[in-house]
Amino acid sequence: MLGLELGVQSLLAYRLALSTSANNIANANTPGYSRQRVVFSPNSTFNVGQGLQIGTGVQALNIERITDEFLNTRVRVAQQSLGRLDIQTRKIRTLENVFNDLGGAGLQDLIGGFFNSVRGLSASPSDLSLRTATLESGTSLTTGFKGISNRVSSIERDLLTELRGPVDDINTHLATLHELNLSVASVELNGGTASGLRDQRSAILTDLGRLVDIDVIERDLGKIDVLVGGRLVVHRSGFVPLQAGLSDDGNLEISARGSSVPLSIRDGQLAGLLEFGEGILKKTRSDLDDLARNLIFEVNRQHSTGIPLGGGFRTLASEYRPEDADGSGSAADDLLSEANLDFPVTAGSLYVSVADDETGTFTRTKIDIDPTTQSLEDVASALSSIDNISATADSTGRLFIRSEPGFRFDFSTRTDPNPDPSRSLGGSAATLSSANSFPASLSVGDAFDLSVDGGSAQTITISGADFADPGNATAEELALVINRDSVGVTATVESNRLVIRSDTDGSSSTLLLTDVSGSPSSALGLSTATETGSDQAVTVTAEGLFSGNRNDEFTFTASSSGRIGETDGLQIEVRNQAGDLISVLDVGSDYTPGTNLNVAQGIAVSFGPGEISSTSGDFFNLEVLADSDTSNILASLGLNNFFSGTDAKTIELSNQVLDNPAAIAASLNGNSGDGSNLLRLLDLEGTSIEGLSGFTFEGFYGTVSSRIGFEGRRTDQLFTTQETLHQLLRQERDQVSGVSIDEETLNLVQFQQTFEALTRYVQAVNETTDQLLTILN
Amino acid sequence: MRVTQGVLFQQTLSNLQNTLFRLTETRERALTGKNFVRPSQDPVGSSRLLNAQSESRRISQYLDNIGTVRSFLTASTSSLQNVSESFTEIRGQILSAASGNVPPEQRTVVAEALKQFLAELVGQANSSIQGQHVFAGTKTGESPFTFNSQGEVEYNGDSTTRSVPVGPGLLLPVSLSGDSIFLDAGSRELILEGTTGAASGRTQSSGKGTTFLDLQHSATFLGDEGFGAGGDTLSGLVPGSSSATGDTLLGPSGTHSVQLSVNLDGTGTVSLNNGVQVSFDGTETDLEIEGSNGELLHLDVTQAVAGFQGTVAIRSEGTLSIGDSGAIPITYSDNQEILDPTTGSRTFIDTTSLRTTGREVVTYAGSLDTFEVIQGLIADLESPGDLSPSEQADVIRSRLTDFDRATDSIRNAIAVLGSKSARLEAIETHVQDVDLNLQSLVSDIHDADVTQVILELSQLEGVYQASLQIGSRTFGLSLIDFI
Repeated sequence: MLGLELGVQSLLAYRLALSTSANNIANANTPGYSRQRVVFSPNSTFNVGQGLQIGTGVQALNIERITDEFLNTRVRVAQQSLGRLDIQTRKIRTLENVFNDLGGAGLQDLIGGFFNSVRGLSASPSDLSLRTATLESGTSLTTGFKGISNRVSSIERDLLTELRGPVDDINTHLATLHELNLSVASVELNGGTASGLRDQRSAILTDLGRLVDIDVIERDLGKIDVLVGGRLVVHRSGFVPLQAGLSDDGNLEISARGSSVPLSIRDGQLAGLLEFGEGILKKTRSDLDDLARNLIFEVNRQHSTGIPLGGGFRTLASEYRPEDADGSGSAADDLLSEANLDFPVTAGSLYVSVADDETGTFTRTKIDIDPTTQSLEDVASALSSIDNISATADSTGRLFIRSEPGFRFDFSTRTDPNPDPSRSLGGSAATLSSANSFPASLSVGDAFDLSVDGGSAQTITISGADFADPGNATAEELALVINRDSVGVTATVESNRLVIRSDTDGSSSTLLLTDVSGSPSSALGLSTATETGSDQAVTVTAEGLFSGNRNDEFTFTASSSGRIGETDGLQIEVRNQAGDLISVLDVGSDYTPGTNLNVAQGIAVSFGPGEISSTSGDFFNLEVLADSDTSNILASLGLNNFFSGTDAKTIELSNQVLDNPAAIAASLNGNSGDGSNLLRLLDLEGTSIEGLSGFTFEGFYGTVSSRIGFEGRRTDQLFTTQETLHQLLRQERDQVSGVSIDEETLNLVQFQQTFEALTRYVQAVNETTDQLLTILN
Repeated sequence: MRVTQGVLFQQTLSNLQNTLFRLTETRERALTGKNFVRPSQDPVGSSRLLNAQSESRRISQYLDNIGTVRSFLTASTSSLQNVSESFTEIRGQILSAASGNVPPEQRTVVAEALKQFLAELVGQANSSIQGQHVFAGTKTGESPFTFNSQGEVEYNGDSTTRSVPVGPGLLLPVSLSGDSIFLDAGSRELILEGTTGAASGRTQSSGKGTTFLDLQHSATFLGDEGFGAGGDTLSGLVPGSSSATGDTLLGPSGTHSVQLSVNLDGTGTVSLNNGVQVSFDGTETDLEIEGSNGELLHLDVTQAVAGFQGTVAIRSEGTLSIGDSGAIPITYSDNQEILDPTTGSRTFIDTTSLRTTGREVVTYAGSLDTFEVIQGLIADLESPGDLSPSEQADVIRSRLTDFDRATDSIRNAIAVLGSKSARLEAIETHVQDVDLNLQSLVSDIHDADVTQVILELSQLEGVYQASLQIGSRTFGLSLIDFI
């Protein structure tokens, strides 16, 4: 029954073709589905004799998946980048929302607002309502910092949770892939093609690609190996799930279960999250903390040297504490450089002024600070050595400073009003001051006579025993010798100059130095003329606020001799520490004693009546301060600080100023209407801060927020590009594997027609068979 | 090329989405009126915007500060203007009291008025705005001018100038310290008030404040001084027995002279500096003669040469003292130095034109204290001491110079404050300009061009509508419909 068999077989083949088309249509919208096609093949021919061969119809050889694996891979890779960029875009948008200041009331606003309130206060420094406003804007700033910090923290926390989502999905996919591997193998072991299973697997790989970058290697029996970050996670006999966690140093990482080696994820959602977390989020967090930290430190540094409303301090307690790093049980005995202070102390000087309540006069003392040799206790005892104040350091590392009743202390840069207490300019006692700087070149055996107040000569001889090196004699060594070997005079060292002063005052006080052996007078730069004391000593007062930006010392020297306010052309020269002549003061007949003369850089001095002499080297020094705490110890320990805390999370108003608007240290001279410290604080606003890569506070914040903006824009653009690419690839893939309904409909019509024709044929065969049977009957 | 329905749907969908996205963005711009609402939409623009905004905030604070400074300057100026008007008023009264024939009661009345004026002056000098004393330098918390136990006005402020930031990089010094207005009312020469003829020396004196120069007579010498104790040989005149203590004339030879006419009987007449002629009978050993200016001379006329007609020159020796200096001989030099050992001050006096003994009030050169001037006037008006009414008037008139200087100082201060105000106005205009520029910059960056946005919006709406229509048309088409 060749004919019927042919018909039946062909019908079967076409029914398969019809179902395949129907299946294609049904799956037209199934993602990852590749259209299928029945591969027809003519049946083997049948030799009907006489050399004629006849075909035996058609058979469905195979149901073929129309697919391009190369394209599939490209789609998957595109999918990975899309997944990465998609999540990054979304995450950056959340971060951007935190830093979006465009609506106002962002951190930049608050920083500007804080400085603005200081600016407002500077117009009227004693106004308590303005002071309260300054504290309030300070609080807003700290709250703003903490708010942003918290929101960044919550993004950080969410990130770990968010990482776990894709990781779970990945693990599910890996498990499914493993099962599909087994199923495909079992189907294809029997020589078949597991089209559906392969499609399913392909779809899962595409999905997986969205989550993480994978490498796929096809093995025998249609099995695949899958690698993530170079590690085999699906293989012929099983799969390894992934896990997300935090490393010891707080980095986000993905590893294969059972391994601690982090996988290097380069693409997909996971990479997107990791890149975001380790990249811009981490940078933003550290920048935010840097900003807060530098703001705290710089503001405190300036604030600490100011004076609050109502004058200096009676008590002061530190807010930052050193740690007990050596485990001795006390934090006060650790060297400051080793005590893990949040803000380091540097070697430098601290100037402490102690003012008398009644007279208003103050004395200023300089304390040398060296963190590598001093502990908190050492600092406390150095402070205690100053008259009328005492300091203690407790074992928890707190420093307390107290003044005696009737005194107040502060750390301001105000100018010492009495710069010449020992009257080395126009003093009442006869005085010789060396004009040369030390060390001086003397020889053993050099000798000079000192005749005091007209008395007999006292010989001072230079002996090798008194000097480490007579050729490089120091002023201190020489002063020691003079004080030991003579009576009636006192030798002191002032600013590396030797000053020999008679112990008596007035015009009867005289000093005469004569060389006995060698010429020590010229080696020392001492006058050999008779120096006479004066019945009226010159009183010097200084005032003003030094406007320079580095601490300096002005040396005032009489450039000629005469009476202040009387002698024509009498002048006093002023030189700075570098030795440059910065001013010449006319104190001759045109000068009214007691009136202020401007020296330079905001400093003014006045001279009382009296006689000054250039030959006896009359001079005095005035220390002028731009920074009264070059060691930063005040800001480091938190003495008279404005902010406390160390970063964006912990920034607060200090206990010193909290709820106490009068404690804002607006002044540098202690007067209620003085806002000079506020003006210096204001200067900070425009200063480039070293710790912030040379940006200003607002500028630095600007870079932080604009970096997020730029990053957001960049990922947005990349995402759009990638999306287009992805779409093109999908279209390309669709062109090959997609289902065209028109095509399938046509196929259906075509197959149906053939099927109908074949039925006709079967009918014809049937009818001919019937007719034959009828004949036979 | 094989096109499938899937591709068609995808394409349509993604195009629709793109259009919808742009439509949403444009809609957002139209609704908010802003070009961008997230920094990533325009990172450069938003960074510029934020900078402009913080600059603008600073500017508004500067404007606030300008307001504060203005009210401070206004308060300062109005105080000083009040004072200045009172100065003009009170000057008239002082002038009236300075005429020689005013009765003492009238002067007391003026003194009372001056006392009230002083109180008002101190009050105005202590004036404050919002609890801040305007003339106290930086010590604004306490009254800058107070009376001490001696009734003198003391300055408790300082001479620091308060500066306020009023513009980008602009610090305006706003305060005038009280000492510069009221205590340093211009410098002046050394002033000697008195009638002795002493004047200021060439060299500037180094004293401060006010003190007394006392000039005393010690001896008188007549003519050639060769006759007896300082007598004149030619005329036989000898200084009288109380000459050393009683004479009040001073001066080198030639300053004063005696006009003597002796009759042959020894009687005669004598006058000093052509003053009132005094007759004598030849027996007087201590004849007192008053000169034309009230100076006194005592003469012994017992040995006067009979028949002498002529003039005898007089030389007088004396001492002077300042404060605690102790008496030193008068040298009749143009620059005599006097040292006060307690204060160390040196005073230089021109003693060449000395005529009589007496006391000079010495006011040292240097700063002029407005309050002291007024208190001095009150003292002069109330207690004339041993001054004659005309001398008192002279003293008051001489005080008027100081008074005018004090007035000038206050007027200067008003002018200075005025120029500060003018500068403030200029700064304000400038700052407002900057503000305006910033506003327009902010607007340029941030504000959407509404017309353009609406145009774009309607265009996008059209596109979207077209996409939808085309989509719906193509989606309906299928081969199935035709089979």
